Formats: sequence, C-alpha cells, structure tokens
Amino acid sequence: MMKKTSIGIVTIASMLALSACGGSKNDDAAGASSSASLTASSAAASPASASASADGSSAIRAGTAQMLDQTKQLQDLIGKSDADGVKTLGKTINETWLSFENAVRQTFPLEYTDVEKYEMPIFSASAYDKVDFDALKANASGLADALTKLQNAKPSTASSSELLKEAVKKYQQYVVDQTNKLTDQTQAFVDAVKAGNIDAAKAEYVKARVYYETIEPIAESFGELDPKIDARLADVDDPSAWTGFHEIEKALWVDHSLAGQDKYADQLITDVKALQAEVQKLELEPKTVVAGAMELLNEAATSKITGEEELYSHIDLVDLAANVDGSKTVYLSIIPALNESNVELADKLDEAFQEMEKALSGFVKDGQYVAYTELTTEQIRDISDRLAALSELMSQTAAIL
Amino acid sequence: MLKDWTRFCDLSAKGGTMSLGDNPLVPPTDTGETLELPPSRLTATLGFGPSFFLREGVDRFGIAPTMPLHLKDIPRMARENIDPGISGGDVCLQICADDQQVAFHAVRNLIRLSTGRASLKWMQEGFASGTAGQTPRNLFGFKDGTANQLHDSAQGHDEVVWAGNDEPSWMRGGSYMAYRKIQMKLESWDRTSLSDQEATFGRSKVSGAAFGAHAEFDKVDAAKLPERSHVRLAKESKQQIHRRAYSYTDKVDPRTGNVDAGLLFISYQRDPDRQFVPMLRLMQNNDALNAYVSHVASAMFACPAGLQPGQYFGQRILES
Repeated sequence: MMKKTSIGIVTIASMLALSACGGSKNDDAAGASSSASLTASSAAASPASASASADGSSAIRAGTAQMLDQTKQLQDLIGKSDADGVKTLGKTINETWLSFENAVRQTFPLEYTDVEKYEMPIFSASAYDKVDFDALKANASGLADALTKLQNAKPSTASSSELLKEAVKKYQQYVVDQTNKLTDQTQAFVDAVKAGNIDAAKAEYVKARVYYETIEPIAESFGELDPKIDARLADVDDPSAWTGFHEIEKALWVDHSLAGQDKYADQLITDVKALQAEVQKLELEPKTVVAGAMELLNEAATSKITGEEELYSHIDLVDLAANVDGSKTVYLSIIPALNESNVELADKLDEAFQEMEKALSGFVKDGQYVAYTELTTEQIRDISDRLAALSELMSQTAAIL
Repeated sequence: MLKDWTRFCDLSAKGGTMSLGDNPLVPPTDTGETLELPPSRLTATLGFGPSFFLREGVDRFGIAPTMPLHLKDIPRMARENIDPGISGGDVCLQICADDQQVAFHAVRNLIRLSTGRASLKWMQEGFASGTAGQTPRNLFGFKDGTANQLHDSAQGHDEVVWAGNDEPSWMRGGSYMAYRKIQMKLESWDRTSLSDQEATFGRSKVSGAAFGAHAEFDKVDAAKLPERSHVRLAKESKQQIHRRAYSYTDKVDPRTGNVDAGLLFISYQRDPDRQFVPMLRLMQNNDALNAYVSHVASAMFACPAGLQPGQYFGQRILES
C-alpha cells in the first residue's frame, strides 16, 4: 500500500510582494496586485419627498387626509373580500405615504412610527399571491387610527434625552409584547408536539420562531436561556445535552417522528416562560437597544443568509425577515433621536428598510416565505447585498447616544 | 461611490488612512491594517466594462452615447473554459502595491465604500517579481513581456497603448485593459523536457533569446521559430500590445492533487479589435502552449485617462 503524505504549502503573500519591490522595469509595475470587479447597482428611484419646512405641514395635512380616505376605501374592499382591489389599493396607499412620509418623520416622529407599523404590512401584502383578510383588516383599522392621531398631532417639544428615554420605553414594551406572544405560540407548538401531531407542530413551529427572532439579542442577554432555547446541534459541546426549538425541528423534518420529544417540549416551554419572566424585569439602556438592532442584522447576515439557522425546516427566510423586523422596530423607536442628530441617516435607513422589505415580500408564496433551498445563489446574493447596505447604515446609528 | 473611491485612493497613495477613532460608539471608518506602513507605491487603475454603458440593451446610467469605440466583451474563443462568475463586470479596480497588505487594505476599504451602491462580483490576487531593468518571468520560468521594449518610448506608447482622438473625449489618452485568467498546468509543464519547453515558446528559457537569436532583445526572425510556438504566433499577428502580467496561485484540485496556479494576463492597448482580439484568436487556434494552459476568466475594460487634481473617477463620463 502506498503511503500518502499530504503537504500543506503556506505562501506568505506579503513576502512575495516585498521581493517584488526590487523594482521591475516599469516604474509603476507593482508587486502585489489585486483586481476587484464590481457590478454597479442602478440608483433606486426615490420618491420625491416633501421637506419639513412650512410647506411640510400642508403636505402632511393633505397627505394624511388623502391616505385616510384611501384607507377607508381599503376597509370597504376588505369587507367585500376583493383580493385584486386590496392589492392595487395597497400599492396606491404606499405611494401616497412615500410622497410625504419624510416630512412626517421629521415633524411627528412618534406618530410616524405608528403609521409605518400598519402601512408596511398592507403594502407587503399587495405583493403576496394570497391575501390574509383577517390580518389586513386589523392593519387597516390600526392604520386608520394612526392617521387620525397624525391629523391631530402637535410637534414634539421634548429634549433629545427625553426622546431617547421615550424610545427605550417604547422598545421595551415591544420586547414584552413579543415575548408574551412567543410564550403563547410556543405553548401551541409544545401542545402539538405532545399530541404527536407532526403537521400541526410544523405549522406552529414556524409561527413561534418569528417571535423569537425579532428579539433574539435580548434573549441572548440572558446567558443560559438562549442556548437552551435556540442552540443548533453544531453549537453544543455535548450533543446529548442538546435542547430547544432546533432539537424538535430535527425530529419533525428529519426523523419525521415525535417519539421521545415530550421531555424536550416540556423543557422548551419551561425555558421560554423563564425568559418571559426575565423580560418583565428588564431595564433596557439606550446603548443595548441600539446595539441590539445591529446584532439582529448581523444575525441575519451570518446564520440566516447561509441557511445554517433552520438546517432542517429551511425556514431561514422567516427568521431573516423577523430579524429585519426586530431591527426596524428599533429604528422606528429611535427616529425622534435620529432626527435631532442625523436626519440624512434616517432618510437612508428608511429607504434601505423599504428596499429590503420589498425584496423579501417577493419571496412569499401562499402566505409563507419560500424555503431557503428554493432560492438561487443570485437571489441569496441580492438579499445579502441589501442586508449589507442596511447594516452599514445601522452601524452608524449609535452616534446618537 | 466613484467620488468616495477617488478620495480614498488619493489618501492611500500618500500613505494616509481614513479616521480610526472619532467615535467609539460607531465602527472605525478605516480598517486600520496599514497604520505604520508606507504607501508602498500603491496605484489604483479603474476601468469600465461594456455593461456599465449598456446592459442587455438598457442604458442604466444614461451614458450609452459615451461608450468607447472598441469596448466589448472578448468574443468566444476556441478551447477556452470561461467561468462567467469570475469574468466581466461593470467596473474594475486594479490595485497594485509593493506590499500585499497595503494592496488588500485598499481593496477592502474600496469594497466597503461601495456597500449598497455596487456589488462585488469577483476578486483576484496576483503577484509579480523581477529585477530592475529585466523582464519578469511567469510560472513556466519564461520571460513574459519582452516585446514591451519595442514600444518603450512616448511615441511607442501613443501608437500601442493610449486611446486616440477618434474616441469619446474622456477615453482619449486612456487605454483598454484586456484580462484573461489563464490556468497553467504546472505539473505537466514541469515534466516536459527543456527542449520541448523552449520549442513551445520559441525562446531560450534562461536567456530569453528567440530561436536563431543571441540575446533577449535581438530582432526576432519568425521563420526561425517552431511553427506553432508562442512567440512566432505573436509576431505573425504583426501587432503590439503592452503586457502587464501577474501570476497567481490558489487551491489544490482534490481529484488530482494539482495546484491551481497560472497567469493573470493583462494587456493594455489602444484598439483591442485590431491589436488584441486577432492575436488571441490566432493563439487559441494554434499555440503549442495550449496543451499546458486553459483560459478560465475573461474581461475587457476601458480605463479613462489619468485624473486632473479635483476630478473623480468617471466624472467625464457621468457629467458629459
């Protein structure tokens, strides 16, 4: 038998380069060369934005009235279950909003956040093949309320430290809400697992993951709990001690059997409830909130975009969208502070989030994100590029602190 | 992006770096690995690909009328094995320095500055080594670029390298960069006898002299060279190009244990349709060297003339 030797050759590139600098014939001939070729992205057409000047307030009044009108029409169409109608109107409403949202963001940041919260899902739904009328109805009614509030809004006079305090309070409430929903949804998941119902468990799994992924950095701040709830097999030192969502995910999608999963289900709901209890006691700092927004995008850009997070169910896009959503919630709550220090950054972030959400909504089929395995390399790359642009902007937000 | 790039290149060529410590709450603007390093003769050469002006018939930036006369992708050639993923592109940056860390620092920060505005398609690192006044050698151990000496004068460069007055104004005094990544089968080559190696090129390995000549730069009599030899074909094309090749090394092919290494052929010329493409076609169809090489990537870029102070890369295209 032949003996095999494998040889690793380490080349120190800078040494090669240094030996080159002895000066080759042409004075600009250089040692180390690197060519990079790039594909330019064409500039996204950005809608004309109203400035926050004196015309700003009349633009806001007119825009709000028009949008409220359109929202009432939308509610009519929802009542008639007119799928094509709501899709078309969803796009129109978005156009109206884009025409004056920058002015709103600068003058009425708190009211802006509410409108944005309900408007975006309505617009996203216009790109879906199936319309979820119940969800749309709730969003339309939320939007109508938010617009009414905007009509009666007074410009804020709070100082920037008060604004930041307000932002943190608002975000903290969001975290509590999401954790409560996570607990309820995990309970539904655990119940399905314990009932041995694989199909139901799969459906509940997807729903529960969303809530976890929107607040992931917060969950990670409670040392022990995150690994117990969210570890992937590759993360754990001792595979036999592996617990949490992904352990059951594997049972559902790979083993196709829930035998022996009861104890994992029980452990999961115990851990999630412990998380819920911790979150109630949470006292967030502005720094943590802003850093969390960045961590969410980093999460999306590392484990989700590579398909490593949901290795068995391939619902990575669900997680990715939830990460983006969680990050956007931070952005929305810090807008008042951002307006004070860097309006331009707020404009750019707004556009980047819109672009991202628009891109993601293109991957919804039958009301669900398509499996990661269905994406082409080009599609993944497109999402990744958008995430990079968004992250780059988000990394600058900490300057408001 | 092009403005940011220009500012960055100006700064780095002087050995400067962007800010590193203005606000501890946000990431440093510069990545920092060239602090304490000299500029190391850093140069940045920018080129625009055909798709920058027209992509699938669409003029994305409203600049199609300023497209240079000879800018098009290199046409399909016999025996090539082109991977589109590492070919072409809208914009190309060639970054050179005496120190790879300095070169890569520039590449990396230029990529960062493009975030959200351009998308990185491919990146290729290479190296070149030589002694002052002597032609550098490629990984086959042969001198590469001997014929550059033939046009080594201002007039020679005008005739061979710099684009002429028939071009759009921004391109005059610029040049076309042709790029081919050529994988070289080093293992087979290294098992080839010296006489066969020399017959493949048509030159002496050590001295670089063509067959029938005594020294590297002696006049070449094509008739004395083996029929399909590399140098003979180059001479038969009766064209000159300005060669600026680099070598590269990469991974091991797990099936064969062979090393992926070769030549990053780069040539500059004023009219690739006349000077370069016919020469390449002649080579691809006849060159004895084809037994040892495979072209795996391809691109053509139009590099604008050098900038005046205060101008940015591409300004004369975008503001024309």
